[in-house]
Amino acid sequence: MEQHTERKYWGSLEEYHNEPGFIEKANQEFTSSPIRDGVTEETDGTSRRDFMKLMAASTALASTACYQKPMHKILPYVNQPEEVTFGVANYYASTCGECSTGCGTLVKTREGRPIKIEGNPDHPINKGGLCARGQASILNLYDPDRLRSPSELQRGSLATSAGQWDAIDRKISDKLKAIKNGSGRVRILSSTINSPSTNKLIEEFLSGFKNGELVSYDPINLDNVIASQELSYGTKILPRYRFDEASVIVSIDGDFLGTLISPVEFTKQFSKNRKVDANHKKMAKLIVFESTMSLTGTNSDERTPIRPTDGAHVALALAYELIINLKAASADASVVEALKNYSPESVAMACGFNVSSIKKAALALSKAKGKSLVISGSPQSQTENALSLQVAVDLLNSILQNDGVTVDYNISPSLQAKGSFSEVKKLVKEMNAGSVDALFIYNSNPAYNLPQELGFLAAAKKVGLVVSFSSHIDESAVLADFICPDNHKLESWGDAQAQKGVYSLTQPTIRPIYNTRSFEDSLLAFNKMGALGIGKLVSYQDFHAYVQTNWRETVFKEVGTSVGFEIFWESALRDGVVDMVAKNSNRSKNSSARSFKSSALTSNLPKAISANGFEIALYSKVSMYDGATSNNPWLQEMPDPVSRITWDNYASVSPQAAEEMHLVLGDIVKLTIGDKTIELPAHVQPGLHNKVIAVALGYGRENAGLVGSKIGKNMFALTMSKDLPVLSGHKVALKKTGAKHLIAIVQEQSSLQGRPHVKEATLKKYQEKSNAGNEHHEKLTTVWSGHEYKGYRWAMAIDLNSCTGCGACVIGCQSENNVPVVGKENVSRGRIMHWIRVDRYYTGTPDNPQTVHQLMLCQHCENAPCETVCPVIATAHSDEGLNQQIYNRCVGTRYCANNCPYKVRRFNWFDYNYSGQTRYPMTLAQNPEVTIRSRGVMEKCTFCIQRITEVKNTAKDMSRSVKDGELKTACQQSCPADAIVFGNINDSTSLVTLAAKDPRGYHVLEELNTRPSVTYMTKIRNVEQL
Amino acid sequence: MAPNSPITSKIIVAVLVLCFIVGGFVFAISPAKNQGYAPAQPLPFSHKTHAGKYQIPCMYCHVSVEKSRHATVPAMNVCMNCHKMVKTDSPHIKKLTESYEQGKPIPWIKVHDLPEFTYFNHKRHIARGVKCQTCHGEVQNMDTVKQYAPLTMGWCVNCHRQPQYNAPTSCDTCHR
Repeated sequence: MEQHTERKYWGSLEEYHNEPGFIEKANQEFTSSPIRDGVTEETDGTSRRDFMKLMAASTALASTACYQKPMHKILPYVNQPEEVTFGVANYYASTCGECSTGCGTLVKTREGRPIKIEGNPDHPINKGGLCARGQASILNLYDPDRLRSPSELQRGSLATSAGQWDAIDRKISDKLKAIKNGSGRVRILSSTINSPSTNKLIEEFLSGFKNGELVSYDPINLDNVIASQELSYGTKILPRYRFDEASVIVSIDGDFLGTLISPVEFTKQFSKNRKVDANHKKMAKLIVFESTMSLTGTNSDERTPIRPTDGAHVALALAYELIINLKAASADASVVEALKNYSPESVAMACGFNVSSIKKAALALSKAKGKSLVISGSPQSQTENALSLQVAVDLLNSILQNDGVTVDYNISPSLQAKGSFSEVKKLVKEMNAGSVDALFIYNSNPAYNLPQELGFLAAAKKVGLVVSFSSHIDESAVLADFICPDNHKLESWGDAQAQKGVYSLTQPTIRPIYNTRSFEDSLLAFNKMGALGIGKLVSYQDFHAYVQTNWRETVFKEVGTSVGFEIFWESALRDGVVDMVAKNSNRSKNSSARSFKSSALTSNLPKAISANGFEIALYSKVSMYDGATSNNPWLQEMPDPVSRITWDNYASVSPQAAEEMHLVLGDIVKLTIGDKTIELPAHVQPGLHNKVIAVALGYGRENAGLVGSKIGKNMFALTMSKDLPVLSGHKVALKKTGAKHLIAIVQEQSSLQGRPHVKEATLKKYQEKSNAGNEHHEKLTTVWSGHEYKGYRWAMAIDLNSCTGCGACVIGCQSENNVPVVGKENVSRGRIMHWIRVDRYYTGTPDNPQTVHQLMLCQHCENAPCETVCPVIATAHSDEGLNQQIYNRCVGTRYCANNCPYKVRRFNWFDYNYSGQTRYPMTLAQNPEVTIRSRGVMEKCTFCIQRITEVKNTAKDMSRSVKDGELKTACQQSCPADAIVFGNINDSTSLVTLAAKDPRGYHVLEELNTRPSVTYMTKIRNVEQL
Repeated sequence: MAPNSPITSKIIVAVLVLCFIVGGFVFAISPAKNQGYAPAQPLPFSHKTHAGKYQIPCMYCHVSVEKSRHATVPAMNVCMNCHKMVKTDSPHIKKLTESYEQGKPIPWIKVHDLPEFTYFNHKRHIARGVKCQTCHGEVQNMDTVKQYAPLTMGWCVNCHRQPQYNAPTSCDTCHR
């Protein structure tokens, strides 16, 4: 077959090296088979002939008995709520509770229970997008391992006994009363709380004690960023980064598209500046220096692998180049003097990369003053040089005149991270000295994610009263005397101020399923029950009343509207957000630049580079983040966008290091950091620095629940406890143990065989001609006259330039279409059920490849190879362009999956939905509009036929046709990058028609004459040459 | 007789064939959950009285039929709208009221039971002017609700494929 691509794409190193046996293995559709696995008539108990006899006999006997359908009952409402129409969904605006970023959500409820969480299009932070974890949080509400009632605990034991709130409240408040009359040293330990009402309530509660304090910390923290802001400018805030205003972005271990601060917001802004078309041939440029292959790195135009501790030196070298060589920026004499030791040549040589990386980056930045952004802050960057790195980043943003423009410190700074590790250290010291009487552990898991050397577990023993508010008996709750389980966010009232002036509300969408109670209501109850005398709090019936009163006194006054509070409150609840920044027309305003304090830099220079040995780089995955929701099977099974591995964490090494140490995927290695050792399976990561070992945080949970416990290893425990958190950069020794570990990886089982899946071009070539990279098209002939589409014809377009690979679409589709979870062993056999997948292809050389993420879903081909081979016509073509899959007709031949060249058809090998795997009440999260498939049936993407039908019905009711953009598939709706477009291709003005006709549009595997309905747009890289 | 002898095999085959015949016959004659199915309900609600004699319109109780896919059995507060005053001495009404006050719904037995993989849409049919009686029969004359139509796919398609109705016939209309 002719090769029409100039570039070679590879999904795995085996494919790159064309290893023997790889192509053979890749040719197998189903990776396990009884014949291959050596199961024969002799080894297996039953022979085939006996089996056939048994089956025939049992069918005959069964058919004589089974002539009746099971009886179904209808249970009507006793009193039907006014707003419920059975069969019609109600949407409620709320705020996501997965992390403190505070994205606005729309919660889809059916008959009084939430079934899907989507982004709120009106919320200025996420504008309708929602990350994978936010969408998966619906399953946490229905987690079967959630505690169902409060309990008195025995410290150190996992046993609980169902208690009553009154009795538990009495016990706790009696103790609190005694403490209040005594030394009154009460501490509430929590992660960042971005809710103004909760913060106010905590403040008022603690004011009732002589020595009450809120200590907050975040395991994935931004302490260094905030500390450096204070040093550099005197303002201790976390800035709001404005990627929409940046045309050149340099990231030094700042995974802003993955997990840094506000990834949905950043993705939306960044992607907007990456979209190109015939009228707009400009795009932002992303240059990355990083120590892991992060999601941001896979989307970069220029990438340089470094070690975690090198980051600070790279930043200073960039400053040197800008100020001293290019003379494109200026700084104080003391700064210039300090920079003299960090010339690009010396830094590049010490770090082991080509000096042109620095020169190119600095040149690009120099041409974008006031329109660029330098960013850092991910766990990889949190080394002992982290503060130096952050200060250098501040310096760069200042000399580039970005401060006040792309770095907003004033108009609407971020309130998404207010934790402080040094405060936690102080707390542990107090605990050890026996000076803490009561400790409330809320929304945090200190026993799991604090460094082991801090000694939290031992210190907790010295605290008089420990109360946990966790929803499970997690690692920290084991240390507690009482557990008062908090409601899930979907069952709670609350509010959030994620950025200054952006207020959103949280409203419950279901009555608490179990006998749990919100944390805030617990505080109010303790006060009342124990007559703790905090007069202000007694007057509130519950937290709902508290939030309303707080809004009446703050937000309502700030808005300054003439309508009464009740009307304002109802409209705020309906909209979900009150955006004061937009109301005051400040969203696109800039502020004047702050002046950079030179002493910040001169007194915070990084440690010298020591090139010996491996350095560890810890990072957070888009699926697991900090491990708080390890028990969520959707997130565990979501393949990491870069490594494509599920259900595990692993030690990634570079291809060169793997070759030197003879490591392959799954080889267990022993890592030694200081005096601690840990064993992990190895993984070979192209693009990793040769001296870096990268491991993900968020694994190794002991008490997460049935699903999430004992998966992977806990890397938080190995972090260091200094004044600022030190997560990465430690020296690590690696030794092969010889043992092996099964790794469930989804992608590296297939081969592209040189076919042009991906088409790309440089921006320069694209500016010359719009079909750059897409010149060649197959001449296709067909004997068929083709299908006739008299009405709608549904089609989709996917922009490879916009897609960042975050995987929100995978979880969105899983939530919408009841896609089951199969478990680690089945994933390793190629049986994963996701209807849409984010394939990751490398191109170039393994030491620093370029990457492309390509979504793959059913292409709904005109000449579908699957439709012709189904013996029972379970898959047919609809009159609107869809390739239908009729579950009840399917007999499970699997010929269709065999024939599908895109390998998007998923077979139900087992009863994933009806077996014990899908435990009650997880079934409550299922979408009633989509059939639950049982064993033996093929399934695949349906272009969300249930959504198509719903929107068509709505349009028919109004006697009009469906408007372009009105109908969104689940994947399209969830995408923070707006990479997917769906619509009617029979409409000449629709967006999907424009995309299909765009010179950048092409079909994958076009030469097979399948004529897909999905058009891909070529990837344009902002580089000189590919 | 020795096991596995030719006569034993013949007897086994004969028994199996007999099972098939008997089973098939029973299957063919039983109304089961098909046309003619008229199960006894927990309360003997009579459409003949309510919809026939008192001419209460179908949509007074079956409210969702115009707004959603489902016609729905009415919520109990709809029954109580009248029956907190009407015929309160009847033992059936007493049972109804007791259930209502205890917050326990009446467990009606589903008569028109389509399989879970089919998605019928009432709203669309009502909007096209299809009368309830077309598919459900003369319900206003039924004391106990009886399934009037076979409700098989063939029966639905026979109407859908008539050119004058311009109704969709692609599989995903109902199967998703």
